[in-house]
Amino acid sequence: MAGYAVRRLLAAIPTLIFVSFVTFGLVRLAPGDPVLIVLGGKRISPELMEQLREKFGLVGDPISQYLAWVGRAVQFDFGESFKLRQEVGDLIVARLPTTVELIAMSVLLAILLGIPLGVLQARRRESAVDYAGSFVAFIGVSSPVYFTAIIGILVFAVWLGVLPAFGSGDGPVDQLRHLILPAVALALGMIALTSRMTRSAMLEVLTSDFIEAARAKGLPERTILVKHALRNALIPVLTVISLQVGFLVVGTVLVESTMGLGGLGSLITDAIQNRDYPVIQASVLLLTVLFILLNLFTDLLYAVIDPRIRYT
Amino acid sequence: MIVKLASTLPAPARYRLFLRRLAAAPLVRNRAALLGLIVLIPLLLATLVPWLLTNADPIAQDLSNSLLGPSAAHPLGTDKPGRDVLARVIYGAAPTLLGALVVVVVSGVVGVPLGLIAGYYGGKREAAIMRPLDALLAFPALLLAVLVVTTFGRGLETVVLALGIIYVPAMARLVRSVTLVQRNQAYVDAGRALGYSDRRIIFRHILPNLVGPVVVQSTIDLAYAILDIAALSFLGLGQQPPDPDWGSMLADGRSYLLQNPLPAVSAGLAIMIAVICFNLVGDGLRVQLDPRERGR
Amino acid sequence: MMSVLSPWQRRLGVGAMAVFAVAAGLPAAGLAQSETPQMGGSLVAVIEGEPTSVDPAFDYDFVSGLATSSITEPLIKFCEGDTQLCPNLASAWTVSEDGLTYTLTIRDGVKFHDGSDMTVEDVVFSLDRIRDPELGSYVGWMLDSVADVTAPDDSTVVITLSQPDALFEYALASTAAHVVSKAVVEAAGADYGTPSVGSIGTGPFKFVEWTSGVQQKLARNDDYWNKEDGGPYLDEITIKILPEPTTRVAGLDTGEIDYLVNNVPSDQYATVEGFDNVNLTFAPSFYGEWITFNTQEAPFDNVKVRQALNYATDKAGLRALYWPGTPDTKATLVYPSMWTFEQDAWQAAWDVLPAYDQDLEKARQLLDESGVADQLNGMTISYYESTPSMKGIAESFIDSMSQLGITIEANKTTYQENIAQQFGNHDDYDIFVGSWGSDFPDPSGNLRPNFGSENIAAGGSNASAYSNPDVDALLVEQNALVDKAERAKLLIEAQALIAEDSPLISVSNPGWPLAVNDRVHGAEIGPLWYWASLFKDVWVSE
Repeated sequence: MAGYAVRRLLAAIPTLIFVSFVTFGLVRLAPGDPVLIVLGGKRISPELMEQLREKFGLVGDPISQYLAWVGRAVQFDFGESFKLRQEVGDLIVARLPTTVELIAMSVLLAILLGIPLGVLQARRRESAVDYAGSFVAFIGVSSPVYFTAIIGILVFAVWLGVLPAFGSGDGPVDQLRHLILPAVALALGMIALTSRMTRSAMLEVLTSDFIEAARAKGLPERTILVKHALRNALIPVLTVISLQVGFLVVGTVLVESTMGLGGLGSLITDAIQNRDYPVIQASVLLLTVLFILLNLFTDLLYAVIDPRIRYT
Repeated sequence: MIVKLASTLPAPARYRLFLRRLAAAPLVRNRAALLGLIVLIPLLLATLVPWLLTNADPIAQDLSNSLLGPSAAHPLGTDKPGRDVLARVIYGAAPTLLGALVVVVVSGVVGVPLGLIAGYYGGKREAAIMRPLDALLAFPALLLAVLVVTTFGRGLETVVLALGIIYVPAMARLVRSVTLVQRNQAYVDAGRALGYSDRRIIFRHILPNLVGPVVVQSTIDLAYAILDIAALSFLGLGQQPPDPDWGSMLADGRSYLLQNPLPAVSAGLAIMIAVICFNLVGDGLRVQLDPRERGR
Repeated sequence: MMSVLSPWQRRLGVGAMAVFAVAAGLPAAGLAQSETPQMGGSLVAVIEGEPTSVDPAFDYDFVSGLATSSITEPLIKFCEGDTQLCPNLASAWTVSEDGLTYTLTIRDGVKFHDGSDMTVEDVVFSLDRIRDPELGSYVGWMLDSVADVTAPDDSTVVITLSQPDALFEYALASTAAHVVSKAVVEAAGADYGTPSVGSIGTGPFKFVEWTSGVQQKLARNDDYWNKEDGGPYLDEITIKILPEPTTRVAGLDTGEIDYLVNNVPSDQYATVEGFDNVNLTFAPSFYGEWITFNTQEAPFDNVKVRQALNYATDKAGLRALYWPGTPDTKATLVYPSMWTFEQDAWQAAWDVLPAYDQDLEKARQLLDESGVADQLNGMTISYYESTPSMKGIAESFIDSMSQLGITIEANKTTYQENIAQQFGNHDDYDIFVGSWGSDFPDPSGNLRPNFGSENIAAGGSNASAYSNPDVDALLVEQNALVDKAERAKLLIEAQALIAEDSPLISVSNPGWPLAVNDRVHGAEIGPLWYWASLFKDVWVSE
């Protein structure tokens, strides 16, 4: 399994090169002088502008600029943010925990709410519960994150006053309270997809022969449902969840700035807005790495859940 | 993975089977999908002939009638510069829905041939096509769209093209996997043995099997494309003002949510309803076209 | 009863009371609050984006100053509604007759937060540091006319200018003249002012921590040198970062936000007004929003077209919609708030300035006379939505032009394009919605950057590409004068020429909003709040 993981990671290298090259190309094709933008109308002498260009590695042809960037990036040196005057590495390290917490909480919500809902729907197929669940799922999948986030603030913070409107809170309990609204807004679509996927996977498994056999053996329904059916249904569900985490990462971009959470998402949106090349390049690359690792993690998890799957 | 039609039948028969499945046991029995279709009618009218649904001008301002509540003249009230919200919701359908349609068409026009070639020929051609597409898939999608749009200029056209390209890999992968299954069927080998050209095999035997999955995927993609277009316009990258569009209406409207929630909520609900409709119809189609799902 | 008054009227009311209080020799604060200030407590302020730095050398925006100007302090400061200059770290200063030599007496017994004494070496080091091109300070240009800084004795600093500069004095009250500790800055090197190192100054509050993207924390400096006339009172200040306007408003309502300066969204004033627990007030500003075009390119090189567009714009309607109660504007960027000297002369000039109130008939007539109106058809108006009103101005302009039978299209730009347009070569837009606010309480701070032809080239802020040799001569001449009456005369002359040429459509002069929770007292801002130490006299009642 270790060999498999290593091979997968090696195979990711061309992808990373591709992604970093495209990102590099796109930010540099964009019109406007980044130095002028960073300065935002601040009065600076032409000599100083030239000096900044040099400092930011904006001199020379784009290809050598890119190679210079790659050369430093492989040593984990991502340069200094144009705008924020800090090392990009430091910035990312400072911002990452918030985003990871947000995503972890959303995934947790999706698992804790989505899977039981799907199992329930599958068991009571075509009952009122099933229809209601499907309906809720459709609403969940169809809600724009930025809309639900704002409506959430309006309802739970302003009208009902039960949850904080924004920010990240002090101390674990307070932090958790602050994470509820953004995580729910973010997780809504994922909860819906997870329940849909669980439902259909469960239906498939429940009609299969070995479940019939288990029933015939007189095993209690609960054991059949959880130990046999769910276990087998989990693989497609996990696939959907892990694929969804990729979307969550993007969702955080929209939720973080709305909710005043200083995570990676808001760092990236600000960076794109300010044409902060080093931050854009490093964070897009980081997200891609996360995405790749996540996929690998899912594949390895399959083997744990289903002993029939082996990677060599 | 989603659809396996009776591949051994000759092509015309398979088309007929496809059509029968679509029409007969049909959607009509799937109440949710039917509901989706019914709600789509006004949405389509709003997209194609908005002037039939409202007399109000979606662009004309009336600064003295800012943020009015609902009235006979303005059923959904007015927005900040005093424009009729209902008219803006109705006229806002076209950029979002037609935009989503273009996204899906682009992804299909590019993705289907690529997936077909990759799946059918395999080998180097497959690697040459799928490697870059897989890399594209590893890109955080919306961020890529934002980057592309800020680079090549804001506006609906750029947004739609960017999303169209971003949707290609998923479509190509789907087509490739279906093609792969078909290619290994006995009838393809038989066809080859009989000296049929690749072209004939692809067009007469494989393509018909793709119609179902592609239609289902496209319908579901439509729903996602609506959400994505709205998100980009919400970020101010899509349709340019003063022309109405749901995403930007939502973005504008949230500023005075506490004063008058109607403009934002109307736009938000319009997005949700459109997305739900396409999801329902897509789901219905899937059930209809997937023999495994039909019994359930 | 409160709701009958617009926020603006309320502000004027408060202003009038303050004037009365000064006239009667009463302490102004006494009228505003009868209770005595309380020590302790904490306050949550909110800014809309990540600060650039807490190093004053890089504080030249609207978000970095809340922390920076509480930590480090300038040599002198703006006072009396930011129209005058008062002593601060320099207890006195004199200017030589020729306007070339500034002699500052540096206050004794001022300590940095680390307990070390502030010395004249620190002052000289701080000014030289800002001037050093290697540092690349964002406020370095303010000290451009400085030739030399010396410290002849332990309490005197002498600044010599290379040429007389009417605006130089103001630079001494900006972040360009904040005093930093030589030892600390040299030890920190390039990391000075970043979240990991922070900053050390003499100010009323000390840097505690800065969590990137989340918040900055400050704590009271108990050894503050100037505690006689008030605070610091607050134990702790948290400055949180919150980009989403609607969430900021929600946070005011829920009481999670105590203090919001400037970034109260302008289209939600009415909503904030309605909150029982929040006081919204406005300070006058030197800031304005306007529409312009490149006056060197057809058809905008035609004065009739420019005047027609000015007449076409519904300035009063926009002001009523976005800034109810704000003063009317006329065809100038010198707003009444900026008449910091020779007020009568400015008033007399104002009375005869054209206002170009909306008059579509006149606009139509002027366009017909120009004979080039058809060139306007299909042009775009570029704007960046830094505030909702920028978009409102563009949309209203489009609407007005359509009433004249001319189609103008909107071009919503990104922040970077906006910057490139306003400060680039000024050839990449047809019509441009922009804004500007002088950094000094001086009319030339709005006239020269926007209308001086030396600011047309890339990097300059003359977005109209306006070039009038007569105006240039007047603007340059006044800058070298010390006599304020003479300066006013020349500036007023330039203003009249500009108004006639109509290179720019002056739409509004909005006030700076300040929204504070009920429990917050002693919060006051002026037109130049972003240079000010905002929290020194603020206290909270629990």
